[in-house]
Order: sequence, then structure tokens, then C-alpha cells
Amino acid sequence: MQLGFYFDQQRCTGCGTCVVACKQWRYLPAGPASLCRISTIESGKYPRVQVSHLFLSCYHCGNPACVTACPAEAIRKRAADGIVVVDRDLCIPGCRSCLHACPYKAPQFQDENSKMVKCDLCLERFQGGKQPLCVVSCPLRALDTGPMEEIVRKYGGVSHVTGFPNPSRTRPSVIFRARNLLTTPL
Amino acid sequence: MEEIITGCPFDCGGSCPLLAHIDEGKVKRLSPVEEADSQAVPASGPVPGSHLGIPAFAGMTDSLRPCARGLSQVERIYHPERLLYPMKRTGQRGEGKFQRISWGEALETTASRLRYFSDKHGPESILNLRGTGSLDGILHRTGALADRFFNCFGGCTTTRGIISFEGASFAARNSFGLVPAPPGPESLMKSRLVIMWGINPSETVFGTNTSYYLALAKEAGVKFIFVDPRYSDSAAALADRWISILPGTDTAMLIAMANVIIEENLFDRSYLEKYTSGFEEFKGYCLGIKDGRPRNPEWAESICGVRAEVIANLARDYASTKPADLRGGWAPGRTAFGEQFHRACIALAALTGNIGIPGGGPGCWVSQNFSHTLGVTAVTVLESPLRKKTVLTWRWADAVLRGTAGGYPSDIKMIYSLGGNRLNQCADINRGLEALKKVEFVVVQDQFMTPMARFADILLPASTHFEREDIQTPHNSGHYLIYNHKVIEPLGESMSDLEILTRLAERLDIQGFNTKTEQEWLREFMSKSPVNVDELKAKGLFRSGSSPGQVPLQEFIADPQKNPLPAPSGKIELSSQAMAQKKRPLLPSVPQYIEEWEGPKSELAGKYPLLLVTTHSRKTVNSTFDNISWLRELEEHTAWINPVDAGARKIKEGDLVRVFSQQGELSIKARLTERIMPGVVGIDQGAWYQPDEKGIDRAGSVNVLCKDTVSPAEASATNAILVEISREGK
Repeated sequence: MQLGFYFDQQRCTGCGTCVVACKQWRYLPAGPASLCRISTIESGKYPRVQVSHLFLSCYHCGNPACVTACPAEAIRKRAADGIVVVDRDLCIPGCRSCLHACPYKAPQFQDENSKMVKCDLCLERFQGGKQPLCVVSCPLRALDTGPMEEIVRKYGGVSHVTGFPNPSRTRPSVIFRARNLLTTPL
Repeated sequence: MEEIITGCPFDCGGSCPLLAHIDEGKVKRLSPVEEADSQAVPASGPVPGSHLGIPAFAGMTDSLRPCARGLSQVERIYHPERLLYPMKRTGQRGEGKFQRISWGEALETTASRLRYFSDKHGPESILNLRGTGSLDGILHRTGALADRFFNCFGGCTTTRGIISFEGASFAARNSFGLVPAPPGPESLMKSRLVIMWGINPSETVFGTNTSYYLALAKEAGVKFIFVDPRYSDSAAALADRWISILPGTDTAMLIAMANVIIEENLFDRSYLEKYTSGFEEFKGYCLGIKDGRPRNPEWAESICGVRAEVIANLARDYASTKPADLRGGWAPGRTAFGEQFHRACIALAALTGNIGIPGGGPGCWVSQNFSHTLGVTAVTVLESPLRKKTVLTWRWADAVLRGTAGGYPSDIKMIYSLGGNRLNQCADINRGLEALKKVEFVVVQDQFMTPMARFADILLPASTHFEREDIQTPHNSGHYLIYNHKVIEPLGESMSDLEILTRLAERLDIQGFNTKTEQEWLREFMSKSPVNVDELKAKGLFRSGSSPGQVPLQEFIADPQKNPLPAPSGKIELSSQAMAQKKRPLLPSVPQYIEEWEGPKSELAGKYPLLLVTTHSRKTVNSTFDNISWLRELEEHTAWINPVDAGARKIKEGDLVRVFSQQGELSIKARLTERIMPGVVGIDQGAWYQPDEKGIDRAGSVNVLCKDTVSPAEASATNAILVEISREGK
């Protein structure tokens, strides 16, 4: 079973509630390490502008580049649910091989000397039958998680949107409802 | 870890529950109250329900979700800069130098100063300068408690007016005789078209879950047209069409739309006859019957920058798509003649027959705390003694500086500020600084060392709402009650606003201020509710299965004879009888476009050619939360500038720029974006003023730029401010 994300790019307003909800839930102080991030893409020229937001996290890839890249074998993909987790005891501070390998910049670091920290789909909550903080806090209900089979069946969707790195190599576990960038406001 | 439901009561327009996770007496983290947690508590009597006949929609009972601000509060509770001890000033006033004192000394000094100024100069020499602070609880409402305290004290000068929407209240009072709440989400679901005019709820909330309901409405096929100088986050998420308009000129476009609707016979004649008065006079103005100047789209184009064809098409679309909800936000009402914008919205909503029908909208409404939800009552301010005077909130500095010689009702000697940051949040900070230096004594009661608090002589540390108990009612939409549990003990020596004022009242030997314990008050306020208070306390959240069915003015429309409006004619007044009687040229009886003082065509615009809009960010609730780093790091505080304007000034992305007006100057980073129209600059309000040694604000606090002149209806005019920008060092 592979757990993954659904992200509704049409609903997302870029409010960042997920970012703050997650950080405070995981006791991360303000700083460069954010387990999920919002990337906003603006295009066009006034008055024909387009804006879309991308929810960036770890996507617990089917073929995670970080796992192979880590020289300390600190990262592994769980067999039962496909969640990719890091063993911080094994992580070598300053190495960052995982970050260089990951197309989504999922590995996060609080400073140059810290060990890697990343999204683990709120594993602790998952084990209690609860959804991750990002999902339950999104005011728009633009996020969902679950077994990818169910996610695909429930939402359909696409595996790639503008601004999202090509999924074919690492096979990220995420489905999107893409923002229709052809809608041109007057 | 213990999980306890509590609330979040700030002046954002929403009112949300939060789940606090407590360990060893500390809040460790927060989460939303999820669907499974929100069990409806069975009511012990008949629950007022959806008697207006609007069914619930799918998604309406989904969890009430807080925003990034609400969820950031662990940082706020334990912030290193929280005021924990009473303090007294040691250096010069405003230097920010304080030393810790005991509560005894702090209260004794405050009480004796209150007594002294009251005895020597009358209680009106004390300015009760309260902000909104904690807003949605039924007991711990900062503003109401302050008013109650001073009413018991024997008087004061207090502030009147609501800075968010004074123009809207004025327009509604003089068109309807009442001030409506917004259409509820059930009504939204029935709209076919929503025009979002100067409103950005993705960032400003406007009722818990509003963004979600708007998204659901869009998915159900509701069309959204945004009219705004910026392509805001809400526009980006929802707009089928974005029309950019010069700030301060919105009324011209609305009048031109009315012109088209009347000329082309698109108005609802029978609705106008049955429900409104004054149409002929309004028509006369729009068509230019008397003065030969038809206010048509061509006329409006030269004023507002929107093409005539676009204006005409919007008018036709609005008039022919029914029901349609014209949502006039308050931002366009915070301009030189902002009340005219709101009156024009009402006129258009009336012309098209959209007031008082599900899916329509009154065009103009204000934010309301539903403090009588489910039979609940709230703390009252008691009766005002004769010695109570008022000044307009956003003219507090002018009132202090000019006093009775300037026509104000009192000469202020002492300021007592609670739950507010008026220095930062009212126009013209430089005048505010003068006022704070002039008065003889300043007491500030707050949770943080805000720019206002820096000017205190005595600082009284207030607790957050996590540190005391209350019951919270909805704001702007929804039908629920939140038990705002006290989840931790007050930090340091801080006390709740109520506790501080109670002790002050005891020192002053004042009767009647606080006659019950906290629990006794809450029980009394819940005594007439069909919801059982102990069950509410146990469950934390009660959500009524039925809805209040919010369709403003629906009863009037259903039976105008039986339910006349409070307006003098009993109807929707396109021509206001009250205004007609007062004969004030700048407050005409019908909505009119009046050219802005200091508009883009004025002489001053030669020197300051750009128009500033002071927008509201998802990162703050006005100035609350500006000091929270989790929120600050979401997005840098910048000035939005169109690349055309930036290029002309050789400004590049990320450059530090000076933004200056006739009133003052600030320094801020430039953000070049196509999302704002040329000629306009956008800066979020709420940043805490931080002057350097030259008096230039380095935080990007917009009110250094704004002028404290008010509209004829006394609206605060903090949008459409003439400014210029240049690269720092030029």
C-alpha cells in the first residue's frame, strides 16, 4: 500500500495555513526548515495575469532518489505504507546528498549543521487513524491523503502540473487537480 | 497530552475553535477541531432554526477551521517579548525604557492618576482609547469591559466609530435605517453571480470557513467578478474576470453602471415601486437630466481607468443575472467619499431587485458578532453617565492635540489604552506621536510592547484568551458556540483585562463593575440558551444543526407593510430623507460620485503621482500577529509595484525603496508584480512602526503615510493615498 497526497490546485489560495500548522505541530521554530511549503507561480502581463500555487512536501516517491543518494543509509521507504522516513541518528550533518538528489527539495535543514528533517505524513497521527495536520488544517480542503489507489479513484486528476518537476523518474505519490491556466481573466 | 477545545477571538471577521494540546501545564501545539470532535450537544429546548426556509448545503457542517494566524499561537503565547510584569517608564516617554514594579504599585499609580485627572479636570479628561483586543467572547470583550469600567467610574472621553467600515454603516443607516450582516453561506450557494468589489476574504476571513464556502460556490457554478486595483489572492483563486480600477474612484463606475441599467431599461421596475423610494431623483442624477451631464460609462472611464465597454458590460451582466450578490467590501469605503461607494452599491442592488432575496445581497453590510446566538447574552456596558464624551476613533490624535479649542468635547490629559494599537493603526502616525508626547499620563494594557505600548508611563500586562475562560459566539456567519476553555495559567504576573479592571475598580471604590465570578457570569449569560452550559463545557463546541438563514432584509421584502424598514419612508431609500433634510452638499440625498480630495487629478498628484492602497494580509489581524515569526516568514513585507512604474523609477525587484507622502516616509522592499495596476502601490497594513534616528519608519508601517482627514460621513480615508516612491539613497 502506498500512501500519498491529493492536492487541489484550483482550490488552493496560497494562504499558508498548512505550512504553519505543520511547523508548529512538529515543533519546528521559524527558520529554513519547513516540512511543507507553498510555491506561487505568477505569469502573464497586467492585466492578463495568472497565479497558481503548488503545495510542496515530500511525496514519498515510488522510487525515492534520497534513499539511494544517502551515504549513511539513513533514509528508508517503509514497506507497509510507502512512507519515506529518515533515521536522524544515522544522518550526517552537512552532507545534504539527499537534498541534492531530490527534485522536490523535500529534505529540510534548520541550519548548516543540523540533521535532515522531512515530512513523514504525520506517521504518529496516521497510526491513530488521523489525517496529517496539513490536510485537517487546510481551510479550503485542498489537500487529502490516503492510499494512492483510493486517491486516484476518488479524484482522478493528473500526476503533473506546471512548475512541478517531472514525476517519471522518482514517481512521487501525488495527484493534482490542476489549475486551468487557460482561463484568462479580462 | 491533554486535548482541550478553546477558541480564537480576534477581530479578523471569523470566530474559530482550536484544539489545544497541553503537557505539564503548557500549550505544546494546536490543531483544528475536526469533524469527529464537533459533536452537537443536544439542546434542552427548541432551537431557533432555519425559519427563513433556506436549506443547508453540503459542506456547511464541515469542521470550522482556523487560519495560519490562529494556528501560530503557541509562538504568540510564549513569545519572549510578551509583557509579563507591570512596568513603569524610566527614560523619556516613547524611548521604551521601563522597570518592573509590583501590581500594587501599578494599580495604585493608575488609580490615583485616574482620580487626580477626574477630580481636577473632569472624567472627560481621560481618554478611554480601547481597541478590539479580544472580541468574540461573551464575557472577556476588551472594548466592552473598558466601556463598562469607565461608565462605573463616572465618565471619560471614549472613541466612537468603527474604523473598518464607518462609511458602510453610514450608508446602510441612511438607506435602510439599519445595518445588515452579510448574506450567509446558504444564500451564497444560491447566487448565480457574485461581484467581489474591494474584498479579499481569502486573507481577511469574514466568517469562519468563508474561503471554503466561496470555493464550493464556484464549483457549483457561481460566477465571480472581482473589481480591485490588485489581483488579490481571492481574485487569483476565484475570479472568472478581474477588473482593475483606480482606488478612490469606485463610485464613478457604479454610478455609470446604474446609468446603463436605467438607460437600457434593465432595472426591476415593480421591485423599485414596491420596495424603494427616491428612484426618480437618483435617475435624474445618473442620467444628468437636470445638469445635462449624464454619468455614463464614457464619463466614468476618464475617472476610474476602466474602459467604458467593460463598465457597460458589467452593468448588463449584473442586471440580467439573477440572483446576483454585489459584495461591496469596506476598502473602497475607506476613501475620501467612501460612504458614496456603499450607497451606490445599495442603489445598484436595489435597481436589480437583489436585496432581501436568497442569492442576492444588500450591496452593503458590516461585520457582526452574533452575540445572541442560541439565546446567549453577553456582558453589557451599563449606562453611560452624563460625563461621557466621544471623539472619532481615528481622530484621537487630533482630539488630543486640539481639544476644546479645536471643537472637541474635552481636553485630554490622560490616555488609557487597552487591547489596541491606535498609534500604529490610525492614520498619520506622526500626529499620533505628537499626541502621545503631549498628554500628561499614559497607561497601556496589552500583551506585547507594541508601538503604542512604548509610550506608556505604566504598562499593565494582559493575559491571552488561553489563560482565562469564556464562551465564544460566531462572527459574520455560522450557528455555534465555542467553550473557550482556560487551558493554561496566566504567564508571569499577567492578568485578564477583566481581572485588571476589577482590581482597579476595587482601588477606586467603584461599585457595580464586576459583581460575579467568571463562572457565575458565564452561567448567567447562558441561562436563557437552550444549550446546556455544562454540556457545552464538557464537549467544547456546540453546532446547531439548523442555520440562522442569513438573508439580510428578507423579512422586509417578504412583507414590506408588516415589516417596514426603520428608514423614514419605511423603504429602501435611494434618496435618503435624512440626508435631504440635512442639506449637506457633500452628503447628497442620492449616491453621487464626488471627486476625491487629493485624487489623481489634483495638484498634489503632481508631486505624489501614485495611489497607495493599504491592504490586509493573511499574516496579521490588523497589527496583531505582526511579531510572529512563523507568519512573517510566509512572505516578506513589501510594496507591490507594477513593473512599468518601477522601471520609470529605475527600481528593481527586491530594492529597498522610500515610499513617501505629504505626511511621512517609510522604507520597504519593492516587489515588482503584474498583479497590481500601474499607478497604484499596495502595502499591507499592520506592520509595527519602527522609526530610525531620522524618523523614517523602517518597518513599512503604512499609517505614517496616511492622512487623518475623514470623509463627510467620518469614514477613515486610508486607501487611495497619494505617494511617490524612489530607490533608497536617491
